[in-house]
Amino acid sequence: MDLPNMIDFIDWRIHFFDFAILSALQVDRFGNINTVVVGDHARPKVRGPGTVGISALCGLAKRFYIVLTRHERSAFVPRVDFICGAGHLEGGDSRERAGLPAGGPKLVVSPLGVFDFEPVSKAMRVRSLHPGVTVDEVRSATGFELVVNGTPPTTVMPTEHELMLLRTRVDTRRTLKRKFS
Amino acid sequence: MSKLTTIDEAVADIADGSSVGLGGWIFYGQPMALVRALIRKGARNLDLVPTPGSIAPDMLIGAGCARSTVCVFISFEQFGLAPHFRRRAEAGTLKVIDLDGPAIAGGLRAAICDLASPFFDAMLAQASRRIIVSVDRIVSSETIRRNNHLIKLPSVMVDAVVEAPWGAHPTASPGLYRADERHLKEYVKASVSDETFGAYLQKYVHTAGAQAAYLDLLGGSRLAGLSVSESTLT
Repeated sequence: MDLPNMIDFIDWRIHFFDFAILSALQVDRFGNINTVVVGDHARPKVRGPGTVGISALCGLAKRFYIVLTRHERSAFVPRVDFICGAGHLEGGDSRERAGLPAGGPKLVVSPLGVFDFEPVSKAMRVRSLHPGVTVDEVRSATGFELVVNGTPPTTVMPTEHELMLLRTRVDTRRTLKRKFS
Repeated sequence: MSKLTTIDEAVADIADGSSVGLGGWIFYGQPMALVRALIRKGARNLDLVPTPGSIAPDMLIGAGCARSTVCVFISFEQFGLAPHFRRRAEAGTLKVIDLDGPAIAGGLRAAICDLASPFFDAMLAQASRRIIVSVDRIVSSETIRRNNHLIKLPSVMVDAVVEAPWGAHPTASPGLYRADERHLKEYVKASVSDETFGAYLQKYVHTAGAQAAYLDLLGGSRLAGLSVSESTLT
């Protein structure tokens, strides 16, 4: 069957992805993400690449993870300028009330730490901070109030074995190393 | 009546203000020979409907041929954001209609099935009134019959055929040649200013003219280096 025809026959609730990993121009307090525009859609400050399949991935995958390569107020915003990937929408049970399957964003990974979402309010919460990063530092780099419970633990660093696999089996053409080192 | 025509004849009666679909898939099968012909002809006010794309919509936008574009995804991936798409959208001089839907999710499934082929093309063709096909080569009917599972568009859907070897360059044509990363980088670099982009267009679009001269400009060793040995045809 031709793929465009196949789309009509797929039951996304059964056959969709277990998880997705996404990046974005902006992420907000409830894990909604934006790859379309920063600012006004008609005259944006930054024009991004578009929605691609992000709405389907965030809406329908069983869960998703957000990876940002910068942690600044312009990336961690109170409310994304354009929702192309639905996270917990307005927080609480708003995602389910909008008719989307439960799941949504599980973790956000940034250069400063790892974040999850408080189970009831669904607001972003500090899960761990990378070695040497303080709570004040992450607060001042974030455009909204992060939930912080006590003293967050330090992020567990990848093992030598994991690094070896990443460097020799995954990033075989050293694309990631060149881009991020 | 033969559907075979030349690149410039194929685009000659595309009127300014037309809605133009562009096939391919990001760095695969972008109809670049036709894009360069549209720029040479000085097309204006086109409304673009690209499948997920890169240099095809971006070059038309940069050359001032488009007034609007549908956007599922327009990007240069590892080389950055699409320079002219970005600039014109941010200046408010390009209308952008963002689209998404189950079709795009289907595209992701296709990518996972390792079908990086431009599979939206059949849909695009069904949605268009006039279909111009740019092909790398024309083969015998016997070859087509032997490989009928590879047919993407039946002939009844096609209005004009242009034989343009390496017509997707600098993007890839699966089974024939890889994407020319060096050229894509050169394009992104040339797009930093109107002056440098003007020089790029002058060199590769206006002066080069027809596809043969474009290929001569790139050079035989460059093209040979991009060739792949395996073919989908038996």
